Amino acid sequence: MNEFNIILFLCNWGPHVAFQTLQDRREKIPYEIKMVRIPCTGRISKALLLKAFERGADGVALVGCRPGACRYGSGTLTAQENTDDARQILNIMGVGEQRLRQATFLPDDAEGLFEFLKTFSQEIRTLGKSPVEVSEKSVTKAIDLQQVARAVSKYDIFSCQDCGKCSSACPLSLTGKSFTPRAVASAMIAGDIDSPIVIEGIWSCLTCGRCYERCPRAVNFPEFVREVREIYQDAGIKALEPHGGFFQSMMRVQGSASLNMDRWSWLPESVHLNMKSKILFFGGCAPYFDIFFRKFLGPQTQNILLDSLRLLNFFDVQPSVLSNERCCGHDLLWTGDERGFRKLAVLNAEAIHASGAEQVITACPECYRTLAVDYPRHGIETKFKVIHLYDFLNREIEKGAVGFKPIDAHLTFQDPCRLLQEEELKALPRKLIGHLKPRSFREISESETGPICCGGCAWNGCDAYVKAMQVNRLKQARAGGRDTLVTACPKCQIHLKCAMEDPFLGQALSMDVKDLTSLIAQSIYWA
Amino acid sequence: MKRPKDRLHRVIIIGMTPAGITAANKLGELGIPVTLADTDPDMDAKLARPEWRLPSGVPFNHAHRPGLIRILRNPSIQCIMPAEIVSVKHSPQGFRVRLKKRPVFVDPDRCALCGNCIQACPVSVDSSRKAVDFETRRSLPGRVLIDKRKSPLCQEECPLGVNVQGYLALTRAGKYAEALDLIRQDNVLPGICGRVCTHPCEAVCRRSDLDESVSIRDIKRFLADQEVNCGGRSSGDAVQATKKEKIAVVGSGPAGLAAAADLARYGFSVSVLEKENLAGGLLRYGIGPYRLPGDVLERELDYIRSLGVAFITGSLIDPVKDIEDLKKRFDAVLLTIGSCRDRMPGIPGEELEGVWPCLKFLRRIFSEEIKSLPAKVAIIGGGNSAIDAARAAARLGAEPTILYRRRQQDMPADAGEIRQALEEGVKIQELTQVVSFCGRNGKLEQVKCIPTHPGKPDSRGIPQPVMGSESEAFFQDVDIAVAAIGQIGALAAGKGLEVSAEGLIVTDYVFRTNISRVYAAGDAVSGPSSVVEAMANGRNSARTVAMDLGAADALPPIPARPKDRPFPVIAADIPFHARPTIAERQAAVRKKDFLEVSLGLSEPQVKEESGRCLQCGVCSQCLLCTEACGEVNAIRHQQVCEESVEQAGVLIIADPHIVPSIKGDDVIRVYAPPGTRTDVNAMMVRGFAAAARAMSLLENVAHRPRGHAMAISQPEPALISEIRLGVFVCRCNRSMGWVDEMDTYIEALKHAEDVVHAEVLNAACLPETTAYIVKTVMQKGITRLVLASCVCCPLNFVCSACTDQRSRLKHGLFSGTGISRSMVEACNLRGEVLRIIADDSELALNRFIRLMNRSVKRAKRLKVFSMPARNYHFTTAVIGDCEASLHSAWTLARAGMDIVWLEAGANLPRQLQDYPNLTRWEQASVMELSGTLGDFRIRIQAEGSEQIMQAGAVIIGERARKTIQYIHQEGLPGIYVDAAIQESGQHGIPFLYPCATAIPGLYLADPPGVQVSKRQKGEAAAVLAAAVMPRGPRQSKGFTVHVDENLCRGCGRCLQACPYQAITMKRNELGVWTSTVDAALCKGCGNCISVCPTGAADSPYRNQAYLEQMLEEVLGNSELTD
Repeated sequence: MNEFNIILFLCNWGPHVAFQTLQDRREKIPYEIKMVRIPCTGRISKALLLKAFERGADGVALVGCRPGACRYGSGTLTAQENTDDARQILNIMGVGEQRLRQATFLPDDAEGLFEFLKTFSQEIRTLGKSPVEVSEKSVTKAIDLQQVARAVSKYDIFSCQDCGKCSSACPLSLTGKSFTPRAVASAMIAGDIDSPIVIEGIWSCLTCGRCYERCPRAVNFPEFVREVREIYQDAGIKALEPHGGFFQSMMRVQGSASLNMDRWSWLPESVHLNMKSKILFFGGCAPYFDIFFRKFLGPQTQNILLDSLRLLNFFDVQPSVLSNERCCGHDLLWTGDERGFRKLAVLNAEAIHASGAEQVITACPECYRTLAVDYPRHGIETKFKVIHLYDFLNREIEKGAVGFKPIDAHLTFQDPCRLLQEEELKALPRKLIGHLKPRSFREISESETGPICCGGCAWNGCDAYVKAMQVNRLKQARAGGRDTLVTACPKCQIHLKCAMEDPFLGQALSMDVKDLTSLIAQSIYWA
Repeated sequence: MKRPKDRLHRVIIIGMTPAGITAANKLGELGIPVTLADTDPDMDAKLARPEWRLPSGVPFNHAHRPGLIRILRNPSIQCIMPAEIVSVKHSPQGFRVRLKKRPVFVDPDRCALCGNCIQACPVSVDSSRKAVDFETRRSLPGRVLIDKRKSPLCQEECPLGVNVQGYLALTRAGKYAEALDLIRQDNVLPGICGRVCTHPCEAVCRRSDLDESVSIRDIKRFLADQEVNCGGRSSGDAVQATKKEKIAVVGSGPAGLAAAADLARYGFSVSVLEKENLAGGLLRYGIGPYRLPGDVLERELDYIRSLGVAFITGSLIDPVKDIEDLKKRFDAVLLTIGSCRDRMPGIPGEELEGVWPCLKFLRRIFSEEIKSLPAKVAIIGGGNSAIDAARAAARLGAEPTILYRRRQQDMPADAGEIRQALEEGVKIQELTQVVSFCGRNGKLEQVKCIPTHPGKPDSRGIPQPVMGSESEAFFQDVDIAVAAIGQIGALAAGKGLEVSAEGLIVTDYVFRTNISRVYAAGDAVSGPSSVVEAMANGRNSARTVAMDLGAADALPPIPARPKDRPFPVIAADIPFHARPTIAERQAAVRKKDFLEVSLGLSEPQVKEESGRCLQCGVCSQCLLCTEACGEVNAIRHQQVCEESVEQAGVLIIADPHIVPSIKGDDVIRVYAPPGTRTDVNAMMVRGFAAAARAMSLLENVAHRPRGHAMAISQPEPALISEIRLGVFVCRCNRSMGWVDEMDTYIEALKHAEDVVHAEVLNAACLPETTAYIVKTVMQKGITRLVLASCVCCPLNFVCSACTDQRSRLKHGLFSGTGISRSMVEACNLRGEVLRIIADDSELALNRFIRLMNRSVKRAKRLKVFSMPARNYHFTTAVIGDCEASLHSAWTLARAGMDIVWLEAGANLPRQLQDYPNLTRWEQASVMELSGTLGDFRIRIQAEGSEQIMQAGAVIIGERARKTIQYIHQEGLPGIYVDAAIQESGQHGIPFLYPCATAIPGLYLADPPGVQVSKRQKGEAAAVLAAAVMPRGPRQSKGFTVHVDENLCRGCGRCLQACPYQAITMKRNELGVWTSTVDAALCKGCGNCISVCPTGAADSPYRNQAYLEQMLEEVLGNSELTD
C-alpha cells in the first residue's frame, strides 16, 4: 500500500469551521488527509497521537484554536505540550518529529488551514512513508478453550489446594478488590474464562509474584496470568491499558525494523563510552518516561541511566550502548502481546550480537529479567551474559577502596518485583543500601511478611484499588519520620510519585523518592 | 401607557448587532417572546464584521454561533429579516412597529443550501456572485438569496412581457433550448418575431445609454433557428386538454395564434378556423418570404399544433351571420379576424385597372398568383407594407418607386427595411403627394402628384406635409400603383355583433363583445398594429376567456419583482462595444428570388451579443433555479414584499442605522454614542442590560422560579437493547452528484444483519422528509439510526461550524418525537464523501462504503447518555454595596426574583425597601464562597455567629471578588475569582460572556475592563443570573464526561484540567478520593480525559474506544480488526 495517510485531529471550534469552508468550496484537500473531529485539541492524549503512528499514519496534525481562542481555555496549551512531548519521543524512536504537527487557526482562516494542509502533506510526501510497520491485529475469534486447558495444565493450576495463602498475600486482595489468584484459578479450571469479573481479574493482576512465593504447591500464577493474557489478546479481549495505552503503542512502534533510533545523543560528554567494548549498557525506557510524565510527576528516571554510566566509568568500565536500543519488551510480554514482544526481542538480540558485546549490564530490573530470563525462555538466542548493575556494583564495592558520603535522610526501600523474583538478586539492594550512610534506614513495614508491589509493572490495570494500595504503602513508608523512599525500578518511582499526586491526601503521602543507583552515584567516592 | 399591567408580553429588538443578539438570547432563555428584525438578510454575515471581532481574535458570528442557532430554533423568537422598518410608534400596550419584510424569494424552512440553484443560475453579477447565491453554508437563516430588481425595461416594454433578460442570460450560458422555452412561455412565435418584430424592447434597452442597444430580436431569431439547426424539437409539451370546454378562434393571424396557444395551455380544446387554405393570416400573406420564409411560419404553426390546437382551414366565417352557429358548436368564440381591408386614399381614379390595394397586391404575389410585373410600379405610402410591396414588386421584375408625402427619414417603416429596399433598387420619391390616378380605357397610366414640404411637427415630432400649389403638379407614368396607406376594419355594422364606424369590432376593456361568450381581439378590434401587439392582444383576450370559463386556477404563478429596487448602476468600466452586423445576401442576387435576405447572427456573435446585456433586473427570472431546486421546492419567485405590524410591550433598538426616529424614555437604546470606539464586550454588556430592563418592565408576567427544585431530564426513551437498525442517507438534492452504486449499496444494506430499513433520501432536512424519518422509525420499531447527511453529531450541542440545516434536521428528529439522541449515529456524508464525487467518483464510492460500514458498526455499539439531575436553589445572592451590585439587586428585585443582598451597606435607596422578595443583610460579612450553579454555599459571619447560606446564583461586586475566596471543594485551597476575558495569545481563559466567570452561576457585578456604566454592568449580571436557572427539563447531553469510579485514582488532574468546576471529588470506601462529574456543568471538552492516567474519565459518545476504532477505520486497518 503506497497510499499516504495523514491523520488530522480537528477541533470542533475554530479550525472545523475553516475546514468546512474548504469542503464547501470543494477545495482539493489532499486525499491522504483523514479527518477525525474532536471536541478540543486538549482532548487528544499523547497516547492517541502515538496510536495513530502505531496504526499506520505517516503524519499526524493536531489542529485547534489559536492561543487565547480555545473555547475551553487551556486546550491549545495542553495540545502544545502533548505535541512537544510526543515529538520528542518520536525523535528518540526514529520516527521523526516532523511527522507530528500542531497548528492553530481562527475559524475564518480557511486559506491558512488549506495552506497548512497542503504544505504538511507535501512535507510528509517528501519524508516518505513512515518507518513504522503496522502490526496486524489478530482477527477476533472466540477464546481458544484448548489453549486455556493447556495453560492450566502447563502451570499445574489443578494442584491449587484452595488454601488461600495467595489471597492473604495478594496486595490487591488485601486492599479489598474482589480479586484473588485462587478465585481466578478455580474459575479457569471451571472454564469460566470470559465472565467480566474473570477478565478484569486477569488484567488487574500485578504479576508481582507474592502469591507464587507463598503458594505451598508453587503454582506459578504470574506466568499463568501472562499466558492467559496472550489468549485474551488473541481473542480480541483488550487489556486495561492505563495512559491510554501510550506505552504499549510506543513499544509496538519500536517493533519496526527500519527505525533509525536516537537513544543516546542526550548523554553529556563527561560520560565515556567505548563502542567496541565487550560490555554493553542496556538503558531501558527511562528517557521516554521522563518526557511522558514531565507535566505531572517530574520523574528523574533518565538520571538512573546517567548515574549507571557514571558508576561504570567510576569503576573504569567504558561500556558501549546501542543507539538502536529498543524497549526490552517486558511490558508487551506481560500484557499478552507475545508477538510484539518477540519482534523487540529479536531486534535487540540482533543488535547486541552485532555490537560484539559479551556482557550486558542493565540497571532496570525489568530489562534484567526480560533479557536474562524471558528472551531465552521464548527461544531468542542470546550470546551474551546479562548482569544487573547492582551485581556489578556489589562486587566492585566489596573489593573495598570506596567510601560513601553521608546522606541527610531517613531512608526506606521499595522492592521491585522483578528483582524479587530472581533469587540471586533479591538481597542485593539491601546489601548496597547497607554501604550507604543515611541518617537512618528502616524497612517500610516490619510487620508485613513481604514487600508489596508499587502498583503497576507492565502498564496495565491501574485503578482505585491500586491507588488505595499505594496510599497504604506510602503511609507505612512515611511512618516513623522516614522522609526518603529509595526505589530500584523506574516504575516504582513513577507509580509511587503518582500516588502522592492527590489533592486531598497529597500532604500526608508526600516524601522524597530517590533511585538507589542515583543515591550510590551521588555519594560514592574512592577512599 | 396608563397601566404597566397592559404592557404586551413581547419584546421587539431592532438590529442584530452583538447587543441585539445577546439581548435576544437572554430574553429567549427567560422565555419572553421576542421579535428580532434587521435589514440584513443574514445574521451570520452581519455579525462577521471585523469591528465586532472578539479580543480573542474570533469573529463574533463564530464565537456566538451556538447562541445564533438557538435564536433560530427558539419558537418564541421570531426573526424578520431582511426587513425595513417603516415606522415605530407608541401604542396603548407599548409599541407598534410597522415593517416591510423584503422578499428573498426562498422559503428558509425548506432551502437545503445544496447550491443547485446557484450552479444553474445563468446570471453572474460579478466573477464571484450569481443572482442567486449565499454568503456561506453557515448563513443564518441558511438559505440562498435571490437578488431581484424591478422589472427590466425591455420586458416592461414588450407587449407580450417576454422575459428578455432571462433568455439573454440563458443564451449567454449556452442554454439555447432553455432560452427558447422561456421565450415561448410568452411568445409562441419566436421565429417570426425574431424576424419581423418591431422590437420595442430594443428601443428602451439601457445598453444604449452606454453604446448601442442589445440586438434582442436577432438573438431571438438565432434561438428559434438554432432549434432547427440542431435538429431539436419544434414541439411544445403536448398539453392534454384538461377542460371540457371547446373554444373556436376565428382567424389565424398573430392574435389568433397567440390566443389559441394560451387557451390550449389553459387546458381547453381549441380550434382555429381560417378562411384561407393555409393558416397564418397576415404572416403568410402580408409579409414577404424574403423577410419571413414560409418554413419558419410552418414551424411555428407546428409548435402550436403540438400544444393541441386544431387548425380548420378553408372555413370562411362571417362574423355577423355565423356567430350563432359557432356558439352552438363551441363554448366560446374568439374573433381574431384582423383588419384586412386596405384603406384607400379616396382620390380620383381608384377604380382604374392597375390600382391595387396593398394587402391584396401582396396576397396575390405571395400566393404566387402574380408571377411577373411591368416595370413601372408606384407604391404610395411609407410604412412597412409599402416597403414590402416595393420589394416584392422588385423581385417580379419591376422598378418600383415609393411615393411618400413626407421626408424619407420620417417614414414609419423599419430603417433596415428601407435600406434593404434601396439596395434592391427601389426608389423613394419623398415629399410627393399623389392626388389622383389617371388612365385611359379604365386602365391606369399615370399618377398625378403634387410636391409637399415639411410643415409644423405633429404630436410625434414629425413635420406635417404641406402640399404645394396645383401649379406644381406633375404626372408620373406608371403601370401599377399600389396604395399602401394602412388598413381599416373590414366589417360593416349589422345585426348582432356591434361594429364601430371604423369597421372594428367593439368590445369592453377585456375583449368581451356585446354577444355573450363571444370575444374579439387583435387588429379587428384595435385597428392595424404590429405583430407583437396583436399577439399581446390575443393573449389578453385568452385570459379573459379562461377566467370567464373558470380556468383562472390554471394560470401559472407569476414571478414577482420588487418594484422599488432599482437597477444596478452601470459600471463605469464596461468597455464600449457596438452591435454586431448581420450577414445578408447581396442585393443583386437576392432581388432575383424570394429567399430570405438576412442570414441571422452566427453563434459566436450571439454569445458576444447576449453578453452585452446589462442584466438590469439582476435575477432574470429564467426559473432555472426553480427547476434545479426540484423536489426541495424552496424557491418562491412569486414572493412579494409583505408589510406587517408588530406589537410589543418593550422596544430595544440595537442598531442606530436602522430605526426611524422615535422619542420616549421607554425606548431602550443599546448602542454606543456615535464616535466611540467599538468594544464588542461593551456591546454585549449593553445587550444584557437591555434584556434586564425588558425583563423588569415585563415583571408582571415574567416567569419566576422560586425556592428550590430538582431539574431533571426530559423523560427520554431508553436505549432499547434490541438492535433494529434504520439507515437514512441524504444525497443533498444530488447537488454534488451521486454514484448509482451508492443506491445499490444501500439497497443491499436492507438485507444486512439487524438492519430493518435502509433508504436514500433526497434531502433529509426538509420538514416532510424529517417527519418521514420519524414516522418510519416509529412504524418499524427502529432502535438505532444511522443518519448519513451533513449532520456531524446527534448531540444537543452546537459547535461553531453547525449550520441551520443540520440544526433544523436535528430539531425535527429529536424535539418531542420519541427519538433519543443516544440512538443515533450521525456522519457527515456531504463533507466526507459527496464533496469529492465530482473529482473522483471511485474514491467517493470507496469512502462511502467505508463510512457507511463503520457507521453501521458503530450504531450497534451506541451507549446511553447521562441525564443530568441536580438540586437548584432559586435564590440569587448579591454581594457588595457598590453601585453595580445595587443595580443587580434592584433589577432582580423588580423582575420578582428572590434576592438576598449581602454586605449591602447601610445606605439602601428608598425605592428598594418595598420589594418583599428582597432580603437585605447589610451586617453580614461573607467569609468564603463555594459550590456552583444552583448550589452555592456562602459562609457568612453576622452578629457574631457564623452561618451558611445557600443560593442558586451569586453576583459579586468588584471589591468582594478581590477579597472573598472561592473554594471549589472543602479541603482544597481557595482562589480569588478570575475576571479575565479571553484575549488573543493568552492561554487558560475559557470563552465566557462578559460578567460571567468560569464558575457557573457566579457573575461579576462590575467586570473590570468593560467600558460601560456601572448601572448597565449591574443589570447585565442580573439578567445572566436570572437566565441561568433552568426553566424546563434538561436535555441529556451525551458529550459530558463520566468518570468510572473503579478506575479513578483520585489524582485530581481532571480537577485541574476542568475550566468549569464540573468535577468534584468524594471519598470512596477504600479511603481514596475519586472524581465525579456534574453533567449539568460539563461542556464536554474532554481535557480531563486526556490527562486521566487510568482511562477512568471517558465520554459515552465518541469515547476512547471510538477514537481508536476511528483511527483503525480511517487508516484502512478496519478489515484487520473485525
